[in-house]
Amino acid sequence: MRKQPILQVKNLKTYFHTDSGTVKAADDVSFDVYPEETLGIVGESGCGKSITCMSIMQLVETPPGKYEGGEILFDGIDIMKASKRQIMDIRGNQISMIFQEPMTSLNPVFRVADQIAEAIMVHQNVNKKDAEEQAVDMLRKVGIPNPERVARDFPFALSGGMRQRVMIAMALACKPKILIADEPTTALDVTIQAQVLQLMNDLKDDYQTSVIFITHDLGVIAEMSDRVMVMYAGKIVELADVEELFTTPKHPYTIGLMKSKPDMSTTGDRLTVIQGNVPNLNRLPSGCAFHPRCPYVMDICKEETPDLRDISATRKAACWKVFQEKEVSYE
Amino acid sequence: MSTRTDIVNRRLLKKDKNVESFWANVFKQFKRNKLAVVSTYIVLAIVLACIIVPMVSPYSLEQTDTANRAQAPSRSHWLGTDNIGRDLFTRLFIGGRISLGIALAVVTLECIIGIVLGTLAGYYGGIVDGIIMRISDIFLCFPFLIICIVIVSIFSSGPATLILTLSILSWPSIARIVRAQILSLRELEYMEACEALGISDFKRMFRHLLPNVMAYIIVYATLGIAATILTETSLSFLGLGIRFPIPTWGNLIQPARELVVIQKYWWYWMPSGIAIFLTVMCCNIIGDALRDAVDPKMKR
Amino acid sequence: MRTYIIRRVAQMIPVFLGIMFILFLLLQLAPGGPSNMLMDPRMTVEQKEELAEKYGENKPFYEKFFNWIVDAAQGNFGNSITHKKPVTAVINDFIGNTFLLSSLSLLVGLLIGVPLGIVSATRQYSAVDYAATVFALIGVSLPAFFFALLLLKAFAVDLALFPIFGLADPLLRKADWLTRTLDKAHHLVLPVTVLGMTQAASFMRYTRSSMLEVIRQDYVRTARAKGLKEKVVIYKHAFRNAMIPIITLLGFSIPGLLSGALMTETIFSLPGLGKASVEAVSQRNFPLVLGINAMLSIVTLFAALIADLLYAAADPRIRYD
Repeated sequence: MRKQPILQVKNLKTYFHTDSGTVKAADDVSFDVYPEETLGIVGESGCGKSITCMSIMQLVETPPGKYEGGEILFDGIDIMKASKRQIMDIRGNQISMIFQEPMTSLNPVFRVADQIAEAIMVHQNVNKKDAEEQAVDMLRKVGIPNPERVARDFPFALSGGMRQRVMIAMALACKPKILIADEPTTALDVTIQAQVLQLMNDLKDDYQTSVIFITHDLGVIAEMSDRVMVMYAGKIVELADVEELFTTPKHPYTIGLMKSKPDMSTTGDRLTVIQGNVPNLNRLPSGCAFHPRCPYVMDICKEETPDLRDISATRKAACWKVFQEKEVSYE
Repeated sequence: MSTRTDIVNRRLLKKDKNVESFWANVFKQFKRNKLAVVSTYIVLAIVLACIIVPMVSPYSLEQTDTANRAQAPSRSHWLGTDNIGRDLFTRLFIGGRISLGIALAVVTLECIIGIVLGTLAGYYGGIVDGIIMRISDIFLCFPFLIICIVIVSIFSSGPATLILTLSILSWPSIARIVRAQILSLRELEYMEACEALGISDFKRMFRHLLPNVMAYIIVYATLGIAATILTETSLSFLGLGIRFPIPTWGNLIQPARELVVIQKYWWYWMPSGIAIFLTVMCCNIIGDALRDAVDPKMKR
Repeated sequence: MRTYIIRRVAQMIPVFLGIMFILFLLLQLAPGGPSNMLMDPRMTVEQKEELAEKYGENKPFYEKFFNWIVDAAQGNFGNSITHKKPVTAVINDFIGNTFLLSSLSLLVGLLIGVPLGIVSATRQYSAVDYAATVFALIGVSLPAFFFALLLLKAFAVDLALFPIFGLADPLLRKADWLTRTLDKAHHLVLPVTVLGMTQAASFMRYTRSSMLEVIRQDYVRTARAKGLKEKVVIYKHAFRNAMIPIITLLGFSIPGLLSGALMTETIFSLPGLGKASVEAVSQRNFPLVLGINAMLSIVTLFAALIADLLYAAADPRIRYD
């Protein structure tokens, strides 16, 4: 797993300039994605997970969004500086994305086969007939029963789970190196959710694709990812292998998240919740953005923002308390 | 029973509070649109001028001055005089009074008819809805202009006839807006709560549902004023709306149907045309801004 | 589909009867009937009675209405009193010009309004957007008759580039077909500009707001994420959806278009239905008034039906069975 990273995000800054102030949706975000791994990104809604990934695809609407800085290195290209042509060539071909809302993510006026075939035809030199055959093949691979018939259907005739399968088929049609999944199962029923997750895990192995998996559901993260990145208020607060993170969470926010996860073994007890609310992103508190909600808050937390530092070979965190403990343990 | 009342009361109170902050927000959004604010001032200025100018003007509507016929604008006659020496500046603002008054009356009447029928249709559904909607179909399909021509040329051409005609012909659109809103609102749970409490139908409709629909009506009414001014002036220009001796912005332009007036006497007809254009445009800008403020979906 | 069309046409009948009933009622309430216009002060009372009898003015209202409906159902709309011809023949004489004016204006409106709306929406808040929005705002706010007068002053009177009224130069009556067609086109430029600009302005506003709504939809983002060119994303994925409400607007704009055409005809003195109906009303020529109204109502009703059918064709989610 410690091979050359396939994607490197360095100091990404994506801001939104609104009438009520600047929202730093992704603020100095840096991370790597390695071949064939699944990187989970977890955090509450509005913490910048989606914007980070949309920035990789250059799909943030500008305006109101603006890429303020950073590099996204993929395949020898800095996506932030790439030409329109290069970006078109990457999108849907090298890096694909599936979205949270299967019900609205497919174009209602085109047939399923046309929508998948279109993705194939922009990137591969095939005629319409072959592309449609490939589309039917893809539908079969994502476990859609009777794919020839479904291919001729319009999206409104399909259920949410089916539509998400179609989205996956479309995203994987060109065998991308990276698949970004933005809360792909949040809008689905629990049973369907499990099926879709299983499907994604299977296909990921078949296609040897790296996956960036965004969710706010820790259960899903545990099931899907190799490494996990925890985001809070536009910043990465902790990054670790999945087991480490779940057994020994370091950042107080991660600890809070773990405690607020419903657990079968503690049936009957009240769920612990993190005190307070997600801060308004255009009026962030000074210092560490988490300090008003942090049970371990110290003076320095209110004044200085902690940067993301290595705390072992495999993990990183951004927390003054964690830094202190590490120094203590050295002594 | 008391607990149930409490729940509903709380819900309704919360609703009222929402309504309040809703209007505050609409106002805030509206104020951010500078063009709309300027337009509001322009409309106010036009209205005030229509009220005040005729009162302070040294000339009256029909006062002729044969010595000063067809004079170009000058210091004594700011917009010149017509072919029998009447002061056109005074006439312009008296005409404005009529045109604006008619527009206001038509929209008010139209809203009243539309709100009542739309509410009844949306609330009761079934046969009541069917009949009202069928009638509104009939009115929507009327060849608008010809009906106006028929009514106005057959009956008198006074303002009352025109107001009645225009409002009767245009209520269906507002009835439809109100009906659609009511249909979606009555599904909400607080209406069920009202039902559980036995609040009467009528009270429920007008006390609880209408405030929600108000926003859409105000937007519609603002745009309706603009549309009515256009219709009235067009009809009056063609001699099918208000006729002399009552002046309106529309029939003041009538002299321009003669070629020589177009050629030589621009001050006979251009000021009224510009007045119509300015008023209608400002009303449209205000209406658009209100719609954006009420329904922020369209704005980012 | 066929049953749907049949059902819709059946539903039109009561609406149509309602329109005609109300019109009949209005004409009934009017002081003076067609016979008044033909009366001579020197006529005796008996002669007047005879004339009134001839035009069926003494029959009860419901009987007149019923007779008219029965005759109309057989294609007989009576005779135009002033033209001494069947109403259908008179309408036939005038409808061509009205149709020409309205269809040309609609075409101009669509060809200018829709592309402008798309460009304006895709570059929201750009200079192009502001210019187009201002153009549309002026277009919907400028009274058509005032706009017509301004055009007449500038291009017909001061610059003398275009004829001032009518549809044909009487001097060219004997000229060949091509010359007459060019002459007609020359006469139509200003009227079509007036009506077309009004149409373009409202189509631009609708297209813009429809596009603005659509380009924020998830499926447009999906299309971009596929790696499609921005042109394909906008013109294929977004516009195909934004078109759907515009089609409905098209159906509903027909009555307004006709009213506008009638008004434009009157201003430019074009021989069309507008001029004919103004004359018919002032001459108490009731059979012609009824005939023109019947025709306009039917056109309006069918336009709404066609709009609904096109809507279903554009949106696969809608099926009429």
